[in-house]
Amino acid sequence: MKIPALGEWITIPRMTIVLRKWAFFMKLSCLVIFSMLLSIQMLIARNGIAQELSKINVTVGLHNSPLKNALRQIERQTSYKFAYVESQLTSAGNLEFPKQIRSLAQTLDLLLSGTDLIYSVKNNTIIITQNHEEKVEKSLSETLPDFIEPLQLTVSGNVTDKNGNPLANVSVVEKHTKNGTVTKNDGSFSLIVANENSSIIFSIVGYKTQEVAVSGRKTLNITLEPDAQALSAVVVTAMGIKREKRSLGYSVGNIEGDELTETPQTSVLNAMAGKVAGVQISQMGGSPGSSVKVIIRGATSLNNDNQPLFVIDGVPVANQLNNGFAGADMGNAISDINPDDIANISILKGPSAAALYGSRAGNGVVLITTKTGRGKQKGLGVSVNTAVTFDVPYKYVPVQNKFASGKSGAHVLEESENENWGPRMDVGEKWKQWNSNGEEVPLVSYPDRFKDFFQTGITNTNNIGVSGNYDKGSFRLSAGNVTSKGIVPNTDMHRLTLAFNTLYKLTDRLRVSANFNITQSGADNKPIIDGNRTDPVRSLYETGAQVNINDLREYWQPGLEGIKQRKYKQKQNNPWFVVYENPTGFNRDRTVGKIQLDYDITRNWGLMVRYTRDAYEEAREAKKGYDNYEQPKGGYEIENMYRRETNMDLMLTYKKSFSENWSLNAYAGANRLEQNSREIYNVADQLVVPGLYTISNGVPGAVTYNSYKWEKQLYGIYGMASLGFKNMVYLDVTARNDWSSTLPKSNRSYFYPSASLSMILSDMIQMPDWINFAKLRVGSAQVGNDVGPYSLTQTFSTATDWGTAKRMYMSGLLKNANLKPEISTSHEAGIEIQFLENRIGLDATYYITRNKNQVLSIGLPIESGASNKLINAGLIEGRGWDIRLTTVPVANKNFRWEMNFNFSRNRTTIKELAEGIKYFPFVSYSGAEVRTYEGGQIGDIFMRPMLTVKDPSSPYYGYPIVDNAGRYQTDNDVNNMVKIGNFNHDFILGIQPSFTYKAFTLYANIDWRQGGSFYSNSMMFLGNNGQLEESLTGVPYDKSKSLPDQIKANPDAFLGNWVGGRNAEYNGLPWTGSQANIREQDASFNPGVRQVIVNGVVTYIENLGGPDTKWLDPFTAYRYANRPFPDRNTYSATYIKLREVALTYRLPASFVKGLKLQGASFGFVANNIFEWTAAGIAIDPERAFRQSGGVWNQGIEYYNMMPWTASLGFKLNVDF
Amino acid sequence: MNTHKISFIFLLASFAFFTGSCKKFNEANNNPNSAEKVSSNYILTYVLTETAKSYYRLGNEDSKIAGTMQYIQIGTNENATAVNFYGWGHESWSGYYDILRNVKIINDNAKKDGNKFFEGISLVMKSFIYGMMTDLYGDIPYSEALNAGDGVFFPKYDNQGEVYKGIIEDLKTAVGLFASLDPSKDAIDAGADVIFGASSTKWGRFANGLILRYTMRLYNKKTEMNALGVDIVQEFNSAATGALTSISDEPTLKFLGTTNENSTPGGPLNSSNPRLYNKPSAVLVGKLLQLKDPRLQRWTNPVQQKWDKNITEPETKTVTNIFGESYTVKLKPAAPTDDVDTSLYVGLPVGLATVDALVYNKGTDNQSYPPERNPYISYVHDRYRLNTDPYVNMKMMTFSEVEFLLAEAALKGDFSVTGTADSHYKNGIKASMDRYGVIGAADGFDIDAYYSNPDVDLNNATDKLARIMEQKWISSWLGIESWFDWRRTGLPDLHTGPVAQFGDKLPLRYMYPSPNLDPSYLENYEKAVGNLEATPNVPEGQSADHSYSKMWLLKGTNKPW
Repeated sequence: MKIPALGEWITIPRMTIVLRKWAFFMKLSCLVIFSMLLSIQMLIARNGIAQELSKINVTVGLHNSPLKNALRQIERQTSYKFAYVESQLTSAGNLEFPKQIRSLAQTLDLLLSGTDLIYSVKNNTIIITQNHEEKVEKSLSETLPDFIEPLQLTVSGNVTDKNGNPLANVSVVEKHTKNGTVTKNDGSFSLIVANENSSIIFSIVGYKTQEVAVSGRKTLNITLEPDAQALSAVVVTAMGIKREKRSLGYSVGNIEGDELTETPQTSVLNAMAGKVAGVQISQMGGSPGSSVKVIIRGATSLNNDNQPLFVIDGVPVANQLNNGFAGADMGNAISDINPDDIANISILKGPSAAALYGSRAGNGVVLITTKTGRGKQKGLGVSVNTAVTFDVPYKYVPVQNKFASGKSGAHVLEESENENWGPRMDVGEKWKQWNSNGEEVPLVSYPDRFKDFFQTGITNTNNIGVSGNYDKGSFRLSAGNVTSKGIVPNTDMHRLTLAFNTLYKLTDRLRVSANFNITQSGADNKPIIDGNRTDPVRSLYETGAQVNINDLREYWQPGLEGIKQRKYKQKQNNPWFVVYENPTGFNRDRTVGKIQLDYDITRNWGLMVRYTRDAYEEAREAKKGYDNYEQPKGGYEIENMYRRETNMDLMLTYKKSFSENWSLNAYAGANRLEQNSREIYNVADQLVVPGLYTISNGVPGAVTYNSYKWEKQLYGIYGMASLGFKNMVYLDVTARNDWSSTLPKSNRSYFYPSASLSMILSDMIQMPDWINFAKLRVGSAQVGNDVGPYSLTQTFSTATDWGTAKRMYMSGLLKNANLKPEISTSHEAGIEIQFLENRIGLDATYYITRNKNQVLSIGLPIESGASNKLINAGLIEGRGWDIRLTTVPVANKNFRWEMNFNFSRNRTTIKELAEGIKYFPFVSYSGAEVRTYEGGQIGDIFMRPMLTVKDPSSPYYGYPIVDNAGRYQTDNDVNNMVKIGNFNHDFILGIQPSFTYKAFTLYANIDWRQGGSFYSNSMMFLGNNGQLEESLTGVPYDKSKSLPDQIKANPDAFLGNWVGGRNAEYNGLPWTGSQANIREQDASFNPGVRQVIVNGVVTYIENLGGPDTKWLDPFTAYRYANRPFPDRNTYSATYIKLREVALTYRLPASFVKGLKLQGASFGFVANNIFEWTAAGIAIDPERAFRQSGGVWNQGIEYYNMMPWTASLGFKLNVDF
Repeated sequence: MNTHKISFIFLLASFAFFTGSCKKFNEANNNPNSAEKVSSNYILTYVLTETAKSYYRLGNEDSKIAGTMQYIQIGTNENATAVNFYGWGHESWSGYYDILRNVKIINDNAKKDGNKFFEGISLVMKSFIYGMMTDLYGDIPYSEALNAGDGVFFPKYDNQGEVYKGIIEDLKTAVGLFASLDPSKDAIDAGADVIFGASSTKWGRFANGLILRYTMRLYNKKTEMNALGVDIVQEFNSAATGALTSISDEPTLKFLGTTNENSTPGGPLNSSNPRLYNKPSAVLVGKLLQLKDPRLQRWTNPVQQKWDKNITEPETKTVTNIFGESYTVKLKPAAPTDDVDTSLYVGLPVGLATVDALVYNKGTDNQSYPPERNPYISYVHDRYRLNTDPYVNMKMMTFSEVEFLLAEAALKGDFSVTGTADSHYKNGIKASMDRYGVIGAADGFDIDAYYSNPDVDLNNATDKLARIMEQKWISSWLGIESWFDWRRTGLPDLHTGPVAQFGDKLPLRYMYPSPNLDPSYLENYEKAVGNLEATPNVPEGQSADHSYSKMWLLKGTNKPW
């Protein structure tokens, strides 16, 4: 059945229940809009030229008509318009007013005589208000009415904090007026107030607001008391609604803009790390601009990437975790935003906070508010900052530099091999080498070969912001530019951002605001990080220790430039070739725009209409040079993507204080969301003309063309009410209903409510003196979620053509025509306490999130006919804590020390899967399996153990059974699998100390992640390739004693490991027989027993170094003791990282003034200059991800081992 | 401000809100990228190409089976564990079920549309794939498989006998369908049928050929098959006349050599690193040399450096093989006592410890060579490192195989086969020679002289079955039928080398894929594992899901040992 178009629905009587709901919603939208239009018609009038009222004549007459009619007549005849509150006008009733020519002044005087209305003139507007009343009520936003009484008294003075330090930018406003200013950098202000009885309100975030009666004084010196954030802090909540934090029944994380830019960061996400409790941020690749994973309160979705919804100034913007293309990581789209444009970030952690965002808010919402011109000093302000940082690679995975390439285990230099089990270097042995022209030359090591390859990266950040604040509006224009040269040669990244943010008051009640952000970001070449052979890190680490990487810099064979790579072995690319001839880049043009109208219908009612649009076009390109490994004729790959999301929002607001005790804020809104994407993905797998990178240059038959389109529409209506009692207790309820195009018709509509309660205990009951503030909050909420487009019906895929024959097939993903929306329910309870003069603040939350009906693609045994099926899973539950502790250990006149702590812990459990399915496989690599059973925790890693003697009566009980070749083997019985870890941290603690001494500030951001483990596939391969120190020698033993005796005496030390070594020096054992003559003394073995069956009876032969031992070369012995058993390379994920350090010096105010500046600062900044890992290996646990098929999988790391890089630099800020 | 202007703004805003609000909402979720229904012709091409590739890959030049059947040995420790030492692990069957899912769609569509041609082909392909799988693994999910759409996520493993029974029945049905097509409606697109170009006759012959293959496969189990209601002798007899009649009947797919998907596994498009580590095995090379078999020169290169006990100084010679291909060979002097192979074609002995394999036949040469480029051992012929070659193609069955099956049946006596064992035996040899373009092309080769070689002549053989199986083994070069024949007959009599992970025997089966760990799955899996009989080569305490366990087909047959 088809939903009728707008014009049809009224006339079609047959509607299902769904359609009725639908129609109701449409009707409601209509009503809202038409009533809005009517009010505007009535209330708005024309512009005009300034004239004196007494000099203008008008002809006005009324006969038992409302006053409004008279005003309309005046508007028609003059250029004046009127502003009023309609209800006040109505109170004047119908009037009789003889029609004749009078001056405008006289007309008005006569009309209003006998009412309680008075008029005033502002520009071309005549404002009619009730006498002695507060005039037009403060509107929904911060706008104050433009009514200014005659000005009489100038008050000036200074505002300081408790320690006497001047406070700049303090808002100084005359009470009940819009008349105000802000303090300058030296804390001084000057304000002309109406009269000596006026009161002035001083306010600034972080301090208690003070109201001071002027009482005839001309000088006011004010000291502001610091305020605990919770007392008056305003945070941005769902739909951009600013709320006092105290009134919220749920936890909201908040980061101010200046906290984000303490050190220059290329991505806003990196700048958030460690700063909010309950938020885990991991940079998965090692290079600037690589994707960053944000997990709020743990990953509770098994289906999507668990990334939160990002909303910039009310515009939902696209972002995703997996941005792989051709093996490179193109970085998150959210990094398009310039951190310097951000005023504030609010993190809505749970559904309670995010419920109004509906479908997509299940993983939380990151609300970004950009800087505006509002709230600044009147007039123009210019802010400029520039920063340069140097990225210095300083730590590489340590490798042995004693033995050269080789893997046969014989004493042979095999440069063709990736393994390093060859002859000893630096001892005078001579071998023919790749560049020795057939001569035998001494074998020497090049321990600096990694260092020689990487380079110091440079990132240059420049921003200029121009803001203006005027009576009628404000704006901010900014331009930012980042250029970055990577630590991998020939890699880069750049971004240009232009932002325009403006607000204009069309009338006192009608504001239009618009934001536009234009970003052009890209890279000519991003390093490939997929661990395949075009990955420079892998090709570099697989370079033999006897190879001087500098000798490979000329990467074309002479005379065959562009055709034939110059490399020292067949099995790998030349790392220089990879980075110079396989550039993989992208260019993204993005426009985020918003137009919003806010209208204050009356003092209680407001209306907002908003249109937002986020669109970007991203062109990705990967070139592969001729003679690339696996692509002898090169290749060319392009992916052009277009993504667009538009949102229309309508929101009606109501705000009222009913009495001293009760207040109500209510919102009702409607949302229309539309997503459109298209993509073209073409690959020429071989090229005809070398070096010509076009699709049409593809070899016939070697070109594939793909195009895709996606579309999704979603309609939602929502409402929210917040009821306050005595500013002590607040109850919030929200409700939303969505209709999504992606769900089956019968399940397409879904409803979800939330409720939360905030109680200010410190206001309700008497608290001890040392408690300044205490608040308790509880909340419960639901969020519904739809599915991706086209998840319902099976369709055929197209395989590459076979010659001229087309091939189509049905893939293994079984779609589901009966999908239901996901419902995520969360409960949270929290407490906020400020004590000891607000020197210590605690904000703690415990939460439980239950995801029901989660739509996920569950892995099925392929023989069922499907590899995966989309199902609605039973129940996935996350539980955890987020705790924020803020402290000020020292605060005096010159010195202030602050310490903030953010603690997070989360565990996610699969409570129920689907009917008949008890097991969820995630990924599996090299025998390490990440998987979860019903009832188990997400993140568990399992493996198959070593096969051992299981007969307890055997003297060899527990001994490994080696095969007839003398190698350890795995126990293949699935019932014997063992858990070797879980990739989740036990907790995450972010610590931000900051020390301010006079004009100096020292800021640091420390990130401590405790517990958890990961399997390092790289360490396994590095060991296998003979590159780790541990591969030089097996378990140490006493050469003077019998080996079998030693092993039997101390089985734990030996069994499961290998014994022997690379040569006699490294504990290698002597060979027997003919091998003794041709081999190094490197006999090695896997201690255990071998099984023989004699006459049907199992007996064991010792393989313990005695006469029956099966001897192995050290490579084989090491390999079979390590490679099949992932626990050998499973490491603790605990680490402590010093993410940011910034030392800033603010130039003295006197000096700055002399330069006609408003402020200036200079800082030294450093990122990631220290890291400690419990594992003690040079693999960063933060990068415990493996990229596969463009998707990041957690818990398993694979060649994700860029060197650790410290960034050092400086930053200069100037405000004009 | 002008009232009209402001009204206009809000009107525009409301207009934007409503525009398209209902429009397309219902259609928004119709997938514009792919079709819900497509012609079976396109699916057929997918099924045929993927099946042929899968079957080829099982036996190609670096496969475990090629190592087990001792066509190939690996000359480095790369894969030597699996190929030379039989250290096998779990083997995925995803690719096969992926094809079967699509076969089922063709079958469903054919029944719905009443297209008997498609139905017949779908039954042949279904039987072919399931047959290959049960040959490899033993019990497999069969009767309940491919029903995820109906909520059957954990199909049971069927007993192997039942699977074979189903295969034979389906093949018979297919033979019947092909014989009764109505060309007006039972049509398929000749371009889509990349195997037979829509020839129902050839499809029928292929189906009958497969019946011969499977009934003979079950020969040792004929009593048990009788109990299941299948008389394998009778089925063989009735299929014997309808099977492949010449090599032009062979279900063949050629490598196109234009993309990695349609090129040989060893060509540059698939192997950047030329797979020189694949060496012909000494067992095969020795046998072909002994028989003066020209196929050796189609399959292998001469050594690059050849020991010569008759010279004192090294010399470089150009050698031309019987097909006119020239090679440069360096002759190196060797002392009469040197333990070196002086042949122009040298294979790598089976199961040598890696350290020994690397220096094999190096004699007194103390120069080091990249291990895979040891010049004293032959390489597999260059054609296996090209993207495409006329003699490297994918055949799901050969005429040669059919003739050897008939020869074997004639020899056994309980089958009624026209023609003598000897005539079918010779036909089998000739079919293989033809497949490799030997007759006519090989300079000075005379097939009759070959037949009368005492080591070839069937009449001269003391163990005639052994002789048939030996020639069948040779003609099955880089194919997997020889492994299944060896399991059934123990012929040819192959032995492990010095290193074999699980003792002095060749492996018997593929291990099941690493199982899904859902309890419901494990119940089925463990039942299937319980049906396996662990031989003494399976380590104590190890799961019976092992490459040395006997499946139903081998249990109680005393074969291959």
